[in-house]
Amino acid sequence: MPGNRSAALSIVVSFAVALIAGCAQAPAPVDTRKADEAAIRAAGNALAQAAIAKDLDKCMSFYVDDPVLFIPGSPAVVGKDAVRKTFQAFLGVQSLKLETSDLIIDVAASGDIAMERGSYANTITDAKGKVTTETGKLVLVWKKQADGSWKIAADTNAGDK
Amino acid sequence: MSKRRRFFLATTVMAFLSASCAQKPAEPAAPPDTRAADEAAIRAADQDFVKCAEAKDLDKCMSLYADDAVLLESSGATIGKDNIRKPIQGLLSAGLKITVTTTSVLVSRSGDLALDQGAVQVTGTDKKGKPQTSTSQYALTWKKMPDGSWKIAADTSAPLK
Repeated sequence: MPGNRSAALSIVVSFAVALIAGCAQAPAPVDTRKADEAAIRAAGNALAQAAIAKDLDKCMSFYVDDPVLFIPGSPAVVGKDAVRKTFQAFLGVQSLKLETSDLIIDVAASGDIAMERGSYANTITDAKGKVTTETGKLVLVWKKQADGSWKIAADTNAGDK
Repeated sequence: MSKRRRFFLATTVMAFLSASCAQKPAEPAAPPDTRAADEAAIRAADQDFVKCAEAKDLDKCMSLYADDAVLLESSGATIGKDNIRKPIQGLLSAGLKITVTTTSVLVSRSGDLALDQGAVQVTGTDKKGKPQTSTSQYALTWKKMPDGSWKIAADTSAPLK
């Protein structure tokens, strides 16, 4: 019966396809560093945009649950609640212009942790309209989350001397 | 094609595929997980810094830093191992008692990048000879070198309150 024969053949072919697929699947870890670097750059830009828009919740969404924040001339800020308060104060100005340059991102071969370093220039217009620009260096440690997104575990900054 | 011949052809293809799969060189196994040993090495290095500081061995302290290391303090940023030497020398010559308490070490799965966090307690004496202790929070980013040693890529610290 032709039907039976083609059914038998399709089973055989299915096995063959499964074998080919089985051969093609390599368990070696995939190098995701290029994509990770791009994702971190995009997350950094999105964080800056959220800060300029004074969207505190959005800013905080880029931090892990137990972050540390170091800002020039201030005590260390440890934990998400403390980081949130510091951010709230930072956003409580008239306007912000945040620029970064010379950013270098080193992603671990396993694509789970990354270090970003570079320079920043923050131009702040305070409530009275006074404009100041602070320049310095930054080092951020990013951690990939279970959902694949990157969040900041350590946000460390110091002013230029 | 006869039914038998077609079946023979299909089984031959399957056998060939199975054989080619078996003949493939051994799949590269997932790299060994060195994270526990890496964490131990970094915790030991934290204490090595305390020892070389106590011994006022500047070269030994500096050997813990990568050539392009970044030192971020609340007083300002210092870039490059050669420039970091001066503030470290200042720390050693002050003759302070230093204790480092490592609270967490996050190592990448690939064992090449790590975030080390904790507290540094520094005890000196004031003008009247009375002991004075200050505690800082630190965040160190370590990178594994080609020789397997860990070096500090970024050293950030600031007083706790």
